[in-house]
Parts: sequence; structure tokens; C-alpha cells
Amino acid sequence: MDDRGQVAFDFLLGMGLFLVAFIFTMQFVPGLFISDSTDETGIAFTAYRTATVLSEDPGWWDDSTKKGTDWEDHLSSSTRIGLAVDTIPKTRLTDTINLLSMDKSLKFMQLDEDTVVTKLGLYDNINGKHIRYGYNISINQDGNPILLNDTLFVRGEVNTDSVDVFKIERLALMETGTFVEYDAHSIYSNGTADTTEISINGSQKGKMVIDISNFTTTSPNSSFENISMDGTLLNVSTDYVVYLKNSSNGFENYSSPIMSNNTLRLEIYPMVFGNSGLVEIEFDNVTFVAGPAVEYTASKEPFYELAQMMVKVWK
Amino acid sequence: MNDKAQLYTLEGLIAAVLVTITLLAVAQSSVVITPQTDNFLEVQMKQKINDALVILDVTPDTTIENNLTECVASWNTSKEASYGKDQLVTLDKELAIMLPDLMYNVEFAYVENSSVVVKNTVFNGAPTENSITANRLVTLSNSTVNSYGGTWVVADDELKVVEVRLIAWHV
Repeated sequence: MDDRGQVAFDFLLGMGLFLVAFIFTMQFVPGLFISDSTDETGIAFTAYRTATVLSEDPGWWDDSTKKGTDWEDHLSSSTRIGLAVDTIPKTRLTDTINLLSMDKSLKFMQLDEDTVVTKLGLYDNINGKHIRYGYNISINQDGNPILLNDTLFVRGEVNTDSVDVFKIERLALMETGTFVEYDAHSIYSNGTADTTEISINGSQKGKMVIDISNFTTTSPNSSFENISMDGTLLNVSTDYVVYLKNSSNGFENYSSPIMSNNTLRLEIYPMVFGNSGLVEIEFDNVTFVAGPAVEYTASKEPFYELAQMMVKVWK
Repeated sequence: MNDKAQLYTLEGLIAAVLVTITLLAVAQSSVVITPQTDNFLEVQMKQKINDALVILDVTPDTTIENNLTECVASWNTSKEASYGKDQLVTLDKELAIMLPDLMYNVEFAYVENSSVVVKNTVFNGAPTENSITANRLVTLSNSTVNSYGGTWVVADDELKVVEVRLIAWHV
């Protein structure tokens, strides 16, 4: 008898039975073949939400009698953390997204771990148990964390193992100091015609940025020489940097000469000055009218710099 | 009795189990890249170009010299950018700093003689299929146009709304 024909039939029967059972199991047990992907989407949402709240929201505090967006001054009753600048803290009508406040950022750096994780929702809730996510929040310039006052803006852990990290990058304008613009005719020399003085009163936060324009130059080789603080000569590049705008290109690294229609920008780093002091700026072949030192605090406004906020979240 | 068939059934089962184990192993070990992950990358890019436009719009002069309104106001409406020609240089420069790893074009869309006009103002090439667009509205008045040297025709008691479209893609 030739019974070869049975082979395919038996195989079909066995395979068929098995597949029916298998497909039934697959349908019946949900999530059997979904792997980890659903949870990862959750992390992606967490990363997105964290970055959005931090860069677009000024935060909120509420202590049953009063409330506002200046949570940095009411830490114990703060309900939400956000870094966006808000000039009218009593209302919720904030429209200054992507402008980040230095005060809020510095407070954010000082918050304890529990507060940050809870307020930003950096955890997974599994049967009532909070399981923390790993996270790293930083504000960077040229790939390195930005220096605010004397604090590097970076929070969280460094992710060492190569688990799936969800990261989101936001562009923002970070408040890094204060800015004043002077006409060279309205700042005065201290007796030496090519040296001008600016006095700082009260505490300063962040760097001090001074723009000077409309110079009275006395030769085609006019130049910037140096800055001293209370008589001590400051070190260029470690204590301050100098830029010059001499064309439509905007500010570029300083190189002499200075023309009368140029604008000079001095950025003095925050470690240099204490609560008050006298800044002496020396030039060569530039003259100032004699007069008293101009006060820096009188007309300052916040100075913003372009930066990237990076939020990374993982399990 | 011919009981050879039994053996074949068992073999069939074993083969099926093998196939299933392989399937399971593949499904569990590799991260299944769901469409969500793909979407997330798109969201990230959209967010970034949107941020770039918002920042250009709200920036103080001390950080970025010409904000979005000033850039739009300085444009010569009779020109249309093509590759390497008639670009709105200030806007292009400022965007290049903020979006270093992206390619982008900028279009202005506005109403003129009751029809919508769309013109290229920064053109770096033809966008790919998966390009993403962000937009922001800019309001021009006669005095802004005059002070930044553009050729927009805006009457003294009128405002002109221009939609700035930023189209970006990965190279």
C-alpha cells in the first residue's frame, strides 16, 4: 500500500490544531507580543510634557489665600514648576514662552530631588507605587551646560547604560545677566581722559553686559585696553569677554581699531564683582568728558542668550 | 495497522513549536519600533522649528538684532528667492544659528488684491517628502516697513498680516 499521501495531511492537521490554539492564546492574552513599546511611549510623553512645562509655563503656587506664578518666592506652597518669565505674577495670562527666568532656574537647581520628581511627574504609577524614571535636564550652549551666576544648569543623573532614552530638545532664550547700553558721551572720565568709570550698587545676578557706542575717537588706531574692578586688573577671557560691532554683521570678537560708529560690548562674568564695586574701563585714543561715575543699576534690563534645553527621560 | 502517520503528526507539532519559539524570541528581544516612536521624532522637529520662529518673534534686540517682524518688514516684495539668489539674508543667518542640522525654506504668505500670494524668501532647495512646516503671523504697519526699508505697501491706517512659513527637513 502506498501511504505517502498521509504525510502532508497529518502535518496539516497537527499544524492546524496548534495554530488554532496559538492564535486563540494570542487573542486572549492582551499585550503578549507588544513587548515594551507601550511603556516607552509613556516615557516619550513624559519627556515632552516636562520640556513643555519647563519652557512655556511660569509655574504656579497656591496657599488657599493667595496665589501666583512666582513660585520661586513661595517654595513651600508651590504646585507647579515652570521656568518661563512672567512679569505679572498675579495672573495666569502669560505669553512669554521660551524666555527663561534666571531666578526661577536658580531655584530649580536648589530644589530637592523629591520635589522635582513629584512636581514634574517624572515617575510611573504602578498599582499606587511610584517608580521613578531616570532623568537629566540641562540647558546648554555649544553643547555644554550654561553657567548661571555660579551654578551650572544641569539636573538629574548621567545615563550610563544604553537603555532607551527619550530626549527632547527645546530652543529657548535664557536670562543670563543684566544689560545696559551707554552712549559714550553720557559716561565720564575719572580724570584720565581715556578711562571711564561705572559704579555697581547692590547685588548683581548673572553676568554684567555693557554696550558702549558713539565713541569720540582721536586717531584711526583707537582701541580698548583693559578693565579693572576696584583697582584690580581683570583677566580677559577668564573674567570678561569683549565684542565689537563694526558692520551689519552684528557682534564679533573684538579686534582693534574702534571707530566712532562702532559698538563695544563687554560681558563681565559674575564671579568678578561682589555686591558693589567700581568698574574702570581703559581705552587708547578715545576721550571721555570728565565727570562722576555712572551708576550701573539705574538703567539695567535683563540680558538673554540663545540656549538649548535638553530633557532626557528613561526607565 | 499502519501507524506511521502518528510520527508525522508529532513532527508537525515539533516544527510548529519551533516556529512559535522563534517568533516569540524575535518579538520579545527586539524593540518593536511602533509608529509612535516615528511620530515622536516628527514632534521633536516640529517643536524645534516652532521654537525658532517664536524666539525670533519675542527676542530682545540685545540677543538677536533683527526680530521676525523687522526681517519681514525689510523684504523687497518684488523679489522671489531661488537657490542662492535674492535670499532674505538676515533671516537666513539667524535661522542657521538656531537650526544647525536642518535644511529649511521660508515662505511669506499674504493677501494682495484679494488673492493669497505665497513667495519664497529663503530657499535652500526642494523640501523632501517628510518635511515639516511651522508658521507664525507677523503684523506690519507703515512705520515698521519704512524704518526697515522694505517695499510693502501699507496705508497709514492699515495693518498687513503676513504668515511666515518655515519648512524644514533633515538632510
